[in-house]
Amino acid sequence: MTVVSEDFIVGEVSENPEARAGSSFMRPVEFVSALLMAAVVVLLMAGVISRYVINTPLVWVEEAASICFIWLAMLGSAIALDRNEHLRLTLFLRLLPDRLQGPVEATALAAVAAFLIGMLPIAYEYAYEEWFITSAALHIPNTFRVAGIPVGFTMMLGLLIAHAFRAHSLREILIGTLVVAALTAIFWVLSDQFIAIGNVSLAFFLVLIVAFGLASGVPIAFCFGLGTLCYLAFASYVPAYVMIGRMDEGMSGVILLSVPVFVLLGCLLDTTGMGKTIVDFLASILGHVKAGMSYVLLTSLFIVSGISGSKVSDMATVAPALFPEMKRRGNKPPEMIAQLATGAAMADTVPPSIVLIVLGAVAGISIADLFASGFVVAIVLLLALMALARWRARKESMGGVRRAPLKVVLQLLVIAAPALVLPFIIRGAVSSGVATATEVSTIAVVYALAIGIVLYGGISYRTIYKMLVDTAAMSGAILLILGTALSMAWAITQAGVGQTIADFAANLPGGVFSFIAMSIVIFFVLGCVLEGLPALVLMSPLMFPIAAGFGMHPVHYAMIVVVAMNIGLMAPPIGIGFYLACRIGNVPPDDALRAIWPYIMALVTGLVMIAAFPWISLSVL
Amino acid sequence: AEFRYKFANNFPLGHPMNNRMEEARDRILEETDGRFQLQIFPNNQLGSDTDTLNQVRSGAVEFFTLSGIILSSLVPVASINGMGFAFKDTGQVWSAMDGELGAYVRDKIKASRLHVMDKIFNNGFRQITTSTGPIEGPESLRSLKIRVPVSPLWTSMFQALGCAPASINWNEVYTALQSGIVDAQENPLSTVDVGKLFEVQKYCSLTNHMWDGFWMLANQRSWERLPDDIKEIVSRNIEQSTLEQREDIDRLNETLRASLEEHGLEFNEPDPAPIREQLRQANFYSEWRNNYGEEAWSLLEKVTGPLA
Ligand code: NA
Ligand code: NA
Repeated sequence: MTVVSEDFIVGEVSENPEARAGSSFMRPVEFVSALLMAAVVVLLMAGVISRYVINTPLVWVEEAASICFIWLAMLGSAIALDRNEHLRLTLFLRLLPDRLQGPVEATALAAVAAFLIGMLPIAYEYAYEEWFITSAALHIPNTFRVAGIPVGFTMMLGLLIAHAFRAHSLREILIGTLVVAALTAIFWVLSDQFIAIGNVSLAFFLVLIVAFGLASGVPIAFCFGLGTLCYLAFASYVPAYVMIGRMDEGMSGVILLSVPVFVLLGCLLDTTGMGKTIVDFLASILGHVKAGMSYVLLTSLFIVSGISGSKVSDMATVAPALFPEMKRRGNKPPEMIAQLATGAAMADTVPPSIVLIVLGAVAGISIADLFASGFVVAIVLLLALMALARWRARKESMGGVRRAPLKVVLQLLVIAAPALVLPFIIRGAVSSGVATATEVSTIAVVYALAIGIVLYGGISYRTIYKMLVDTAAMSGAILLILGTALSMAWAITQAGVGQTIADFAANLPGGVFSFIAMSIVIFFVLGCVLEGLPALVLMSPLMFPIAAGFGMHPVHYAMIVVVAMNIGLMAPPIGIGFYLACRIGNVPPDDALRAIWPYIMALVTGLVMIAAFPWISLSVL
Repeated sequence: AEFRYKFANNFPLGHPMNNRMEEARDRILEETDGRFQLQIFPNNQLGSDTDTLNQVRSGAVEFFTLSGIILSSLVPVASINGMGFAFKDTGQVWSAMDGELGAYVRDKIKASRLHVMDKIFNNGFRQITTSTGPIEGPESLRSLKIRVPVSPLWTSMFQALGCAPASINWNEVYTALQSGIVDAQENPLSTVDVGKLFEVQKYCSLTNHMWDGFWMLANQRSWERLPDDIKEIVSRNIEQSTLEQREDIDRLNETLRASLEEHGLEFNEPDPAPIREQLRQANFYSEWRNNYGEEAWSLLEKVTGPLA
């Protein structure tokens, strides 16, 4: 069937013009990462088999997988840094005159180096302190797990310095270092003043440093990290040490384990040609329809969201499987990212949804009701996105495309059938209680590997190895963003600004109307900067009683805030979901920046309808 | 305020612990003339239990309430209050935890550079809910797929009972019970209520298999930084709130049974004696006597009578 080229490069369809080939001295690190990635798959599979097949769950599996995972994340981050795959905006950088670009980029590098230097001692201290904590299942000191963090930071610092001297002149490096050193000195001197002005300095550091970092081309993960580190170090009495713990938690959550495995699945589908057979078949049905492939993408997100509870995992399931072939077929990457990101925001309320489960517990609402309502709300948003995609495709020329004859469709169906059953296997395994949403990713990988070898012409070991390394690098880039974003969320939460915001919203003139409008704004902004869950956990206990006071149904209000938060999460230039979509879809954020706004507006339109007509949310209760 | 201290916990607002601690916060603020202000962060807002334990050790948060069973990752003996089928009723619990056993555990906590308040908060006895059938005795536990928090005491106890304990992240428990990845879980009634688990479970067996309580931990340096008069005011008011919270929980558990029954959960009260016998035969108690050491174990048995 499909011929697989030996030299296939997973990143070949990458639109990232900045990506570099990996340095040769990173080979051992790449090898270890590949092993860790393989270990995660094997461990999760062992978990499924032990529980479902032989009914003796291995309690230590999850912990062992999570140890591999944090190491994978940190080593993957280092590999990503080596290959320049950490996402950053270069839009503003390119607006600068040529002679300024070098020094500004060198300054950005120096800022990242300063962050790493600041984190190193506390990361080592953290690893030391964890020696006193015994892990719950394996009964080993937790240091074995968290040592990955200082090791990863050390590697990143080394790589950064090496890169700086390769890419920049001594003069530029000197300028960059001086600028960063001077800023650090100024902050340090003004420290008492910063502490005195309290939460104003929170805004100063988290808004200004993150914004300046973004504009000067600091990768997004380090922007969040730098802002938080500066705030904690110069404007609070809180030990910056706390950041390591938050990063640890943000990067090693069990639910995130499915992300690298789904990315790996996508690589497998693409390499074996299974992804192509799927897209070929779908195109034969929908290719002659305007925006046909957009419908496929959006509907896929809706369907896979019924499997996992997490948005990142949804994107990781769909994009690596469909994107490479869609790109080859000439679909526009920025448009695809826009649909991927907003589609994931749309599908988040499709049950099961971790966001809704947490919200149910935090705000005391029936989770079954939230699930029922979330399904309807997602359909409304799906229709809004589809309508926009159709409208944007109105000028698509369909002249050369004719509807494929039934015979061709059937032929393609036969070829694609073994690949097409994959979603049903995944779905079936989860709903029949065989595997959790996390574990099911490995069932899919094992299936794809087996079918790929038997039916689709096999895969060489070299290709598998390369996939494992590439997956590690991509996961590292994704997880580092999640880790630093969670430490930023901590800084905002501990400042106790939630009550101030809630009081403000409750006392606006204009009653329930302005309260809803303000809620949308608040959750949009918090979704942007706090990622999903921290925003909900922080604000829901404060906002739901106010909503109830206005006579709103809690499920209706829940839908409004969840959707607003998800839209914020995908809104550039801050929303981290947007960057995760770019990383997973392999498209530079600069390109996708403009394409996403119409889709965000479509979601906003859907949201306004959901807010204005409570019966949409409440019809199925 | 001169001292603005953060208090983190994993209960939602409206839970007795947060209600009573809000009262304590107000009393302390008044008695110290505004010098000491406690900021409450409910719902694990600042992080999971394991990470918040880290934060209270480093001083990133000043106060934190943590289940003794989870605290055992740092202080192994702290899980002893959760010993399976040890306490007959809360009366026994308080004579142990307010008596010598509690003092012993607190000494060990203090030895790991954490300050701990004298009185332990009540989280009540833990019960088992299932979707398959009520727990009537040791037979109904055999091969039961039950989700338990990952901690040595839990896993070893449910393994000794012949269950198939599985570790599932709390956020995935609702879905896992719904799809049948596991058939059962165990928690205090208030958690069953907060997590809406009655929507995906049919039976609730009042096994009272473990008693769980929350120690009020404080960062040692932050605590010692406080002047003596403030220390006294803070300790006294937190203790008062703890004692009130204990009674709240006992009352809450009575009303919760009725409201969970209304939501469709079927309750039963199995006889603990045969289950305890099963644990004894599986050498569960003798194993844990070795883990905790003779001294701690004898302090426990002083109250509960011989277990092993
Ligand atoms: Na979902
Ligand atoms: Na989802």
